[in-house]
Amino acid sequence: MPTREGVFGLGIVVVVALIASFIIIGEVARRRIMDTDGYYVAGRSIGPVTNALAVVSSYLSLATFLGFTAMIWGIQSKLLIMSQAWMCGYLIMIITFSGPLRRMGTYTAAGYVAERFKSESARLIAVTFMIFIMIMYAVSQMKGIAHVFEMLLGISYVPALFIGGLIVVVYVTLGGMYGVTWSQAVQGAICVIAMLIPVMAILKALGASGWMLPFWGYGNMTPAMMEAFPKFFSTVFHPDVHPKWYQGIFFSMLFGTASVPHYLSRVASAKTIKEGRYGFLIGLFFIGLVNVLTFAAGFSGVLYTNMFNIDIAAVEADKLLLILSDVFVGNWALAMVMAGAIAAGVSTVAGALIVIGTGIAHDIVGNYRELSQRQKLILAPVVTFIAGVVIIFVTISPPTFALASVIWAIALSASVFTAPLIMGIWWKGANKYGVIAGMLVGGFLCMYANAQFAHPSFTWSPIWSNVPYGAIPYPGVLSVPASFAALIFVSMITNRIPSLAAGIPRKETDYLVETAHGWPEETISEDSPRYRSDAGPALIGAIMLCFVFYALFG
Amino acid sequence: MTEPKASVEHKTVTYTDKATRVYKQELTIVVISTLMVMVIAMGVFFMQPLPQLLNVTVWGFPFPYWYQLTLNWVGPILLGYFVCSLLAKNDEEKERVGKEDK
Repeated sequence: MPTREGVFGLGIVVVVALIASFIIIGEVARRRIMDTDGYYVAGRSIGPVTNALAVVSSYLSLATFLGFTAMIWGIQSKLLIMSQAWMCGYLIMIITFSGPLRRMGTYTAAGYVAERFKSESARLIAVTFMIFIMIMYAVSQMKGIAHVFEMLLGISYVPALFIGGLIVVVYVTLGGMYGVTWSQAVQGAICVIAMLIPVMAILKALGASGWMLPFWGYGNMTPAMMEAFPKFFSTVFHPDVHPKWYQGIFFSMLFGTASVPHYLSRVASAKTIKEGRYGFLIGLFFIGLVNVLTFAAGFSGVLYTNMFNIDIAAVEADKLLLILSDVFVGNWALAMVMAGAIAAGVSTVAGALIVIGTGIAHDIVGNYRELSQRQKLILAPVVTFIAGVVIIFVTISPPTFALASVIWAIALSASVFTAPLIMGIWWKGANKYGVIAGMLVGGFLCMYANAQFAHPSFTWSPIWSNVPYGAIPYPGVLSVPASFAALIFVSMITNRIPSLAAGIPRKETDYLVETAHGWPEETISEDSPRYRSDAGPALIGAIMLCFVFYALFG
Repeated sequence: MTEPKASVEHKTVTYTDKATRVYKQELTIVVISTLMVMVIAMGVFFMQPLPQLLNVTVWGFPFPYWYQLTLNWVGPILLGYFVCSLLAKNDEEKERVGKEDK
């Protein structure tokens, strides 16, 4: 495989300028932070376009930027199945609970669980899973940052990891969410441009007739692809792979994207609910644009390696987009892709670290001990920095594909948080016993199998299936439906046991559900029938139980 | 003095009917749109019985690939825009119901 030797000067200049600008934004923002709302959710003052660009960079992790190309190289068009689910998962979040969540004012998954279900035990469980999910999410970003710094400085993986990782962690620690949101808006714009222009240049070099519209303009190259790699476009299920793998993707990726913790923070930072929703839709447009550009990049990568018989080790595939830029275009394109990758990685690591920081500082320490504003503002960055260093150490031995740990984190989020979010917002009967059962059942079932693909150190996890292209989402076919079923049926049963029902503050939580949906004070009464019926949840629970039996015995 | 009592009861019933209508609208919008989104997300599943779609090309691309490049990018966003506008109207109606009670 082509490699680059020595220091890449232009790349260093671009990346240093980029990171310096982010640090300056972070420092300026830090001086404007008056309270924890300013640190965590940018004072809830972000307009739709700014929030949209921030949404883009939250979602477009470095694993997307580089990892999609690598994954398409590995599994070709089967990645389309995942990306469909990811896009639609975001839409489900917008439709089902972005508005209610914004009205509730919580900005972490754990904070939502504690507020909605009035349970500190549930909060603790949620925080634990949330921190674990975000660590795994951030691992893939750190791997990508390390690869970029490898090529920038001509050094090996581990030193590059420490140098790049510490720079990113320091940046995040300085500015908090206020700086992160504004930087993320800039990073989102950079991600789009840094993918668009190099892919145009790569496609032009490869001979695409419509390279000016790189997302659609390479149709003339498909005959060459059909000759070099005939199976590239096939989305037909592999005959040796059980359909459950594909169904696992649907459950893991669709429901997971709806509940990933650092996406939820974007809900909280919008000025109004309406602006928040439309901001998300604008963001979804740009996310889709970058997705289809990565398909073009992945197409180019497969064509290149097959036409020229180039061998790439799977663990090196994450560098493919960088290599394509270097081989087919030149220094400026490589520098641009590096800038985009760094922007994507920085923004996602920032989002992850902020969630971890808020989880520990706000949801754990801040909940059990009264802290002054000043103490909270000191504690949050300290926790953020420590978490960042931990992630760097965990990334010393990363998964083969950077995208693997992201997919696993999303699958775990689907198994833990989606049921509480959807059922908690739309059904007053969801109670603290149900949410604890749902989170634990879903979380442990997801973590039980195939986790070794997410990180090689997870040796406690047995392999259920080792399909040719990534077994990670597979447990979702069991864990997500099990989470829903556990939450619904445990809630229904405990609501009918007087001694347990007495411990549920129904008056408070019912009122919370009504206000979260925007019903004015004067329309709310104790006996309001809205969101109270058990019929809908019972039907959902029954369907999910059928999926559980199918996953186990089908 | 039965007339004033009857008019108060009528007002309460009317308000409850309106609130119930707005609530059912909200449920309908969310349930139907969520199911539609899930169906879109399962698009590739529905293509499985039709492997001949790989021989159908649009702008040079086999249909499943083209579908992902266009319909499954723009389609969900248009659906989302429509649903968000319905939800915004529903939010306004909730506020109106509250004001009518005053």
